[in-house]
Formats: sequence, structure tokens, C-alpha cells
Amino acid sequence: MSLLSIRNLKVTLRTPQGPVYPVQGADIEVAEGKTRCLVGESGCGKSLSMLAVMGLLPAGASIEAEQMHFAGQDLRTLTAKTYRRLRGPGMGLIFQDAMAAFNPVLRIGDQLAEAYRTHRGGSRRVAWQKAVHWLDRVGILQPEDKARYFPHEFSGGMLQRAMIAMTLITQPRLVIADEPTTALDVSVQAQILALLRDLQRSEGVGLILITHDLGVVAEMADDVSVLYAGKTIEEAPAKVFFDRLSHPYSQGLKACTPNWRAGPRPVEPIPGLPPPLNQRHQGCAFRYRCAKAMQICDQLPQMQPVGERHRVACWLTQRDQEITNAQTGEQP
Amino acid sequence: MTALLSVDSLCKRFGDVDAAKDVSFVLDSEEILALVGESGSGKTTVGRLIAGLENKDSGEVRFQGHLLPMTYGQKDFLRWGREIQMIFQNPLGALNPFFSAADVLAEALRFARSGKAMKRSELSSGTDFWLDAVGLQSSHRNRLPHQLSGGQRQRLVIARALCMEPRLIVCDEPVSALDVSIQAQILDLLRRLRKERGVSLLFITHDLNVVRQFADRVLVMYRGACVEEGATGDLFSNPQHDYTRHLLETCPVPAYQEPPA
Repeated sequence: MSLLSIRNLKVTLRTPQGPVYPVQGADIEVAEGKTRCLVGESGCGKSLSMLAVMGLLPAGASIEAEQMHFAGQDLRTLTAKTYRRLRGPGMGLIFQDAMAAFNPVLRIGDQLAEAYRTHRGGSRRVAWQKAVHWLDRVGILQPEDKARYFPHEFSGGMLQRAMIAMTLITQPRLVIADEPTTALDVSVQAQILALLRDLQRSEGVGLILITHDLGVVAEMADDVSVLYAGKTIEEAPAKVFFDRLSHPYSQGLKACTPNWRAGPRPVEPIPGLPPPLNQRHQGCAFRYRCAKAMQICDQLPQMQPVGERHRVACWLTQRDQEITNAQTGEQP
Repeated sequence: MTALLSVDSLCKRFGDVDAAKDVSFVLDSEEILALVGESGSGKTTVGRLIAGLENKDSGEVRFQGHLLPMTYGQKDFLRWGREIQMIFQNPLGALNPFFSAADVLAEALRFARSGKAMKRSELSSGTDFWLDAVGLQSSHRNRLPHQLSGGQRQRLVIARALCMEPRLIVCDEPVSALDVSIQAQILDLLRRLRKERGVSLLFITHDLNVVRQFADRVLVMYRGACVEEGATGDLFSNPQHDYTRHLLETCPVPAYQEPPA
């Protein structure tokens, strides 16, 4: 049963220089209690498609989608008011920059309690107790004392823990974490990832983890989606993702990611840059950088299933599949 | 043969924190030495001390056998400034927002000639040469920093450092803020330039995955002190110090792992 199901999401932003199309066909599926990692480079629409899911897009942005379901609700029909009720108990967001996400002049405990009272109600005393409880759950020592601290008195790792506590205090069913460990040291990153994984298991929440770090993907993901220039180009279970990627961009991404365990392996950079997003893709967005581009790549490829939970948008895979089908005599 | 750079018992304290405590190492010509550690381990301070951006408390830095003055305003300081260049993590912060790519390089080229007048045509061919050397096109000449992408900005900063024809470039997390595909392009560029121009790199980073495939030797720092030093292959296959092992364990590896039961 999928908790979140997004098909062909498109986001258009109006700017003084004309419309920009940062998301042009994102598919995102999250199963209840599972982790889906969204991978891609900056500007590929990862964060913006998540803001669209949360209903937090800036004014002037418009959304189109074939399907946008969350826990049986159609997100496209929600009003600002009903969306507000959904955030918190429904879905929560963890930001990259925890320092910027907290109010610098309020105590950490008060900010957690406020989140609890806004979405779950109850007295100030109960909310404060909840805040202390959750600070304890995320591994902050002496939570009663630390709840009285101000954000600047916390270290980066502690703040990220507090941020996770603030998101989980309302007990959401879906948590979206946008690069939660990018600003942290590796050993702190490892702690935060372990914490997220434990809490996600024990609370049974669905988790969307936005990252550009394949190392983080390897630690966390059940399923992976690769976005390129605003479009989902491949989605696969984590094992398939690392073992046999299909899309040339996914392969390139893996080939240019250094891995110390693989020994001294030369990185193979992907030449060029992602295309500008001020027009809609006419064909495959990756064709300008793709070594295997063909004539047909001038047409937009659709996502095609190639295995269990594994779908790819690439003409190459489609051609290979047709050849296999022809050989085995099966009808596509 | 003397080493290009030899650092002997370098010390620096900020308040009651030892940012560099008795740091000693050597760096050969055309060598890439990685300085690794977590934030606060003092790796950036060591880089800044060598580039002359901080004043040392004690210790010696020798460059091609000469003792470096290490303090701004001291005799010969600028001369060494040309030989030792620095690349920072955030190129946007290292570029004047009102200077186009060509202005940035022209200023550096004039400085490389000690402010001697240069013909406009000379300047223009110089800028084009260095833009090309780092893989930027002439269409980027007149762009301002905010009109360039992150990778292009970092290329420009590298070009600015290179046009001084330095022997050593101190790179402080030069690829940490970049996307993986761009990161690979920049690392590729740095490695190519090392070969073509014969520069040495002191490569400061926290990313061990990058170190493994990029550096010749590695120096691990912890709380201002060097705790381990070795050839990259040896250090990764046989780490001696507990802290090195800890760093390796916590470093996320981009390969599939069976989920813990």
C-alpha cells in the first residue's frame, strides 16, 4: 500500500524573465514505513517537488499532475486550510539548515512544545513534557536542561537532532528530509542517519530522503528515484540501483562518485551541464550529455517498467527490451 | 633533492584551543597531499598558515629550501604569495561580485607582473588562455560571478590561482559544495593541471571517498595534531590510528549494503 503516490508532477514558476519549468514529470512513490531516496544534482527539482507535495510552493507557482495521492487523499483538491491540518500529523519536513529553521530568540523546548500544541492540542505542561520526551528520544543528554537552551547554545548535530524531534513530535505518517546531514561532519552524519533510521523503523513512518550523496543512499534507502532536469528518469529498489542501473545518467552518476572501498578508481566525469529549465523538454533532457544518444532521443521517453519496482525512462532500455521480446517471441 | 614544502613543528592557538599543535610534514613537487579531519581538527588553519593568511605562533615553514616570512608586510611576503596560491570552498565568497570573469583574471595577471603595465591585447590573450586552460569558454569572459554556475565559478577561481604560475596550491575543500558530476569534472581538471603545469596540491577535505581516488599521500589531523600519515593505499588498507579507523567506519560508502536485520 503506498502512502504517497505522485505521477507526472509538473511545477511552473512565473518569473519576470518568463516561465520556468523546474519540475517536468516527477514520479514519486513511497510505501508505508519505507524509505525512498531522491537523488539528483542541484536544480533537478528534488526540493521543489517536495515543497509541492507539502503544499508550500511560493506564490505564483502552479502545479499539474496526473496523480497526487497521500494516504487516500487527493492532494490537488486540498484548500490552504485543509492542507494546514494535514501538515504536522500527516507529513513533516526536516530541513538541511537547522540553524535557520529554529527561531533564534525562543528556547528549543518552547519551539517543540508549540509544534505539539498547534497540531495535537493539550496543555502547555503536557506539551513541554512531550518536548522533553522527544529530545530524549533523539539522543540529547539531560533533556530537561537542554530544553531550556537557545538554538545558538546547541551544536550543529544537536540542532539537527532537535529538528528531527520537532518533526516527529506531531507523529506524522510521512517525513520528508531535505539533505538533513549535508552540513554535518561525517561522524555526526553517521549518528544522525542511524537515528533517523531507528526512529523511522520504530515509528513506522514513510521517509523521503533528498540527497545528492550516494553514500547516504546506500545507508538508508529501500527504494531510489533519480531525477534529472526536473524529471524522474529511473526508480529502483536500492539493491537494483547499485547493482544494475539502466539509465545512462544514473550510470554516469555512479561512475563519477568516488568510493574509497573500491580502491583507486579513476572518476569518469559526465561532460557538460544540465539543460536550462526555461523551456519544456522536447526530448530526453540528458541527450546532450549522453554518449549513447540516438536519433529517437529527440522524442520524450516515458517511464517503462523493466523489473519489480524498477522503471526507466530511456529509449535505450526500451530498444533492448523490444529486442529481447522479439527473441523470446513475447508480445510487449 | 629538497622537498618543495617542509613544515616543522607548526603551532597556532586560538584562545585556549590548539588549532595546530606541532604539525610537521613535507610535500614534494607535483605531489597531492590530502589533509583530512573533521571540522575543528585544524586542517584549514594549517592550510591558511602555509598560505600566509594567519600568523603562526611558532614553527617553521620552508618552501624550496627558503624559510617563509609568514607575516604580511614582511620582506618577500608577496613574492611567496605568488608561488603559493589558495582555492577556497565557496567560490562565490572568493570572487568580487562586480568583477567579470575577465576582470578577475586581468587583475591577477597584472599582479603576477608586479603591477607592470600590460597591453590590452596582452591582457586579453592572457585571460583567454587561462579561461581555456580550465575549460571555460570565451562566452564566459564577461559574465559576473552570479551568472556562472557553481562549477564554472570554481573553474574561474582555479584559473585565477594558476595564472600566477604557482608551485603550490592550497585547496580548502574545493569540491565540497559541488554536485558529484561537477565535482568529478573539477577533480579531473586539478589532476590534469598538476601533470601539465607541475604544481603540488595541499588538498584539505573531510571526504575520504575523494581522498582515496585523488591524493598520493594522506595526513590525518585530530584536534590540531597529526595522528597519522601515509601513502594513500597503505592508509586506507591498513589504518594504524584509532581515529583514522573511526573516520573510515563513519564514511558512507556508495555501494549496496544488506540492511541490518
